[in-house]
Amino acid sequence: MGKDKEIEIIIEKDGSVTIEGINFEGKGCHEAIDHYLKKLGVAKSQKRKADFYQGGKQSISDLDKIGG
Amino acid sequence: MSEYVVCETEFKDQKILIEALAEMGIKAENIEVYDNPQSLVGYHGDARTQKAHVIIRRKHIGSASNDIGFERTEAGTYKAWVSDYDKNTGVGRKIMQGELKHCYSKRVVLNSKIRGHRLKSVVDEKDGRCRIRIGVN
Repeated sequence: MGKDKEIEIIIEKDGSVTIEGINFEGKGCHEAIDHYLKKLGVAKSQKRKADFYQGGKQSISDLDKIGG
Repeated sequence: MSEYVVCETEFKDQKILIEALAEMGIKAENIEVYDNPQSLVGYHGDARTQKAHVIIRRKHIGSASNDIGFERTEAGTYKAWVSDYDKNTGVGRKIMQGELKHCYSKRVVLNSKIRGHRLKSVVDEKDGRCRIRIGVN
């Protein structure tokens, strides 16, 4: 049985926000994060770690994406 | 970990914006809300070029202050209007230094009701950081 999936949201004193998916595999992480991102604002930067691709077939060239 | 996003907070929810202002010490009854934007007033009593939908009048801020306002943009987000003087004092400084965004963001997250998500913990750390953990089914 896998570890519990979590979203951790860190709100810094200066108002900057980081949203992180923990123990996800595949695209479920992006969807879970996106709920909060849409309510809070826009992405300044976005990174995907290697385990994101365990559930999919994305190209390695998609490994790090910068958005916003 | 699979993914993380650094987010630029935008004021999108008027109700939560007002609640966050109240949390910073502005009484709710001193926050004016308009459907149509109204002119902000400067410390000489002059109408400024800036207009806003959510306004804190200068009498509630300080004797040398100008009105502070939030104008709803076409995108539906609220842009803060804070004079150069007020950027360095009182509530204006709190807005510019991110305290309002901090309060707003925390309220947005805690008010989010998403199916399959449950709040696990909220920790306000000594350095001012807030760490919120949400379980996902």
